[in-house]
Amino acid sequence: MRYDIAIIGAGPAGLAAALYAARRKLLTVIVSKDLGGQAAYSGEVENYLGFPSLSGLELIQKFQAHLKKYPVKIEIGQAVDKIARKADRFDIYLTNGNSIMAKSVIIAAGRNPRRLQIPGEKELEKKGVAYCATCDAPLFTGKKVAVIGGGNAALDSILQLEKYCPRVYSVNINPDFAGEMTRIERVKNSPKVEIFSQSETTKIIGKNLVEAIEIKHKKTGEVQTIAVSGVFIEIGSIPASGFLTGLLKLNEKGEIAIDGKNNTSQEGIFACGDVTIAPYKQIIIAAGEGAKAALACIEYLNTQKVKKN
Amino acid sequence: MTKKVIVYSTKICPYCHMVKDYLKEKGVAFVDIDVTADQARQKEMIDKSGQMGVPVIDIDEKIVVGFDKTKIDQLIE
Repeated sequence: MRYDIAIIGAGPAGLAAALYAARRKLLTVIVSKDLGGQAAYSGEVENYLGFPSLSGLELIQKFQAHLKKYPVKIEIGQAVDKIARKADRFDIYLTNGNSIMAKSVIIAAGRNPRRLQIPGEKELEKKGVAYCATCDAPLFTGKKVAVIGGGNAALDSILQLEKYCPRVYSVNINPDFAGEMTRIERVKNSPKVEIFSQSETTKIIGKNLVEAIEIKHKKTGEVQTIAVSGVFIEIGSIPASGFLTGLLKLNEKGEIAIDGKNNTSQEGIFACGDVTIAPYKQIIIAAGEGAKAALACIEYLNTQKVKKN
Repeated sequence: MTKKVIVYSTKICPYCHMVKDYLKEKGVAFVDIDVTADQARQKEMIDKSGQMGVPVIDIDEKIVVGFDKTKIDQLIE
């Protein structure tokens, strides 16, 4: 089975691209490790036009319901290993050993959480180490937790977690938070929050589940062990472009370089959303970029058809 | 033969919703446990799956972590 378009990623960008492709009756497949991407994990979304306030999950469910009206094949739980260009198509190799053939590709792979890359982090993932307070905060009800990071994501996590946890330790490598003033004030005024600034997290400790973290003060060198049951790592995100090195031009941050019509450096491969150099990472922008990428891709497929005939 | 299916989940986790929607689509009955409210059932889930992530699906005592459609399909057939 050779698809007209293979879309990698099922977040807002990928889903919007799939809608446009399907409406032109193109044989479309979406391959994604998850459905919804970062948007599905968002708390309240209040800036998606048409919807004054709803959860990220509810918004994704609406996108999903809309797309269900069209015959788009959606393969969830699949990661892409690599993409190879053949004479008249692309072969997309999945990590499970299967492969998909398509005449064109739209990359909408989004972003993944940045890791600390310290001992214990990988071993204890899902055993107390988490990257999404929106999803996992309730699991730590009544427990002490730490939030690593100093930006808005970390501040939001702290505010989420203090609803469930008796103590939230904030560990920030910088002297102060760098985020929205109202959130910073709320965090600093919370009796449940204890702040360790200018501190680096050096180790996550635990046998089967997280038991503690070790932190080191950057100036004094003082090392402390803090007993916690959960560690939320909120230090930003990186583009999910690892599988594209060597194939597509990326900028210094690993984001896919695109032009005004979402063309990448490879003819026939388009990209959209947070994985690209597009400067603002917002759900509504990702959806718009997805539509644009699909329209450019459709134009490309039409020119290919003309060339053949 | 009817399988005994338990889904451990939280209200806000997107994959939890997907798993439950999927099981309903397939006409598979399941016991829906919200581990937020129930520390004992949360411990039960952690003991069964060796980890804290949700959803955890127990299909006749075989454990699936996350929305692993392939594994779920294999176990419910």
